[in-house]
Amino acid sequence: MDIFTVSLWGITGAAFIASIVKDKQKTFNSMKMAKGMMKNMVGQIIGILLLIGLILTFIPPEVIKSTLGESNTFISTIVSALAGSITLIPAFVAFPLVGSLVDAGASIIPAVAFLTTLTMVGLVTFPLEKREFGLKFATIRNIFSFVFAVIIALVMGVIM
Amino acid sequence: MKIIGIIKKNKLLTAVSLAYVILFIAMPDKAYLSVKNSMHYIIEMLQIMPVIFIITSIIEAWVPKEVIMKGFGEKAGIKGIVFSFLLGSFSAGPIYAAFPICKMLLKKGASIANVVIILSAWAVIKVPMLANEAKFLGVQFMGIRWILTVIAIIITAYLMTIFVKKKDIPVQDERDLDKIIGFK
Repeated sequence: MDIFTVSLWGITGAAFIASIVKDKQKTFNSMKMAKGMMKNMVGQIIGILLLIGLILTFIPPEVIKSTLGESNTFISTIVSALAGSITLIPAFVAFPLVGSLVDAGASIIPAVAFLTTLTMVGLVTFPLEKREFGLKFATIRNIFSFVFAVIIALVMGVIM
Repeated sequence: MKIIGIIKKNKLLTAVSLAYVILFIAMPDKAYLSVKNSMHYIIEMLQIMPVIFIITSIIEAWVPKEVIMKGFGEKAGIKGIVFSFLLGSFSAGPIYAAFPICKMLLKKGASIANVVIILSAWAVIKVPMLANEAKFLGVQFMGIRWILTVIAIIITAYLMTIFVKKKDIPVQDERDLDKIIGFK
């Protein structure tokens, strides 16, 4: 667990105790609500996580690495942005991977596109986002995020 | 009938489970590798989601609507944007951990623009991630990407408010949920 997760547990624990001291019934009700939310989402989340496991088996980081290092920058940028949208690899894997490529002289444009879509665009989490915020919200947010990821990548390619 | 209901509610989980069953028969080594890959994410989820649900419910119960509206509402202005970036940047967990919190904030009067900022910041510009990025790609790389990302997030947030209105956001199942658990 990173420090942020630990502190969130700490803050939540303190808030929970304060809540119990102030009003037992209200706390009890809100825990029932937490349970309801959990029940509502947990099936979907586990489905998503198992799907990510499948995707990573068939599109392993090595494949992504060779895509990012592709010599045609235009194609590799688009493909990298798409790969980042589909996969959800953890940052501590993504940054060293991209870092080693950039050190080896690969263009940073596909690298940046990949890093940005990796976290901001979520094709696998789309069903969950759609259920929570509606089709319109989820679709438009993901499309904008994708477009801006490519723009950010291009601008970084010009600046750096 | 009940089983059909459960399958209908968990279409994705059902489909993925089926894929796993087929994979375990056809290519057991790949199936095993997929489970191993998933474990990392499942552990991460178990560490963060219970606490997210608890804190969301506590905020829902105790923080008055006016406070949320003042901090994150339509009229919160620059302050709302700054608050949203701070909340997203100092958060923990993957983007789906932000969903219940943002949904609750929306219900309590946060604006769509600020919710988009929280979601996006939560996803891309978290502080531990930035430290990692600086380590492997350099401070300059991280800094420029951070600035560009913040600008992109603000533009996205404003464009979103043009296309998406509050009425497009479903509240139906939330109301059902309240009924089921007898809350309020």
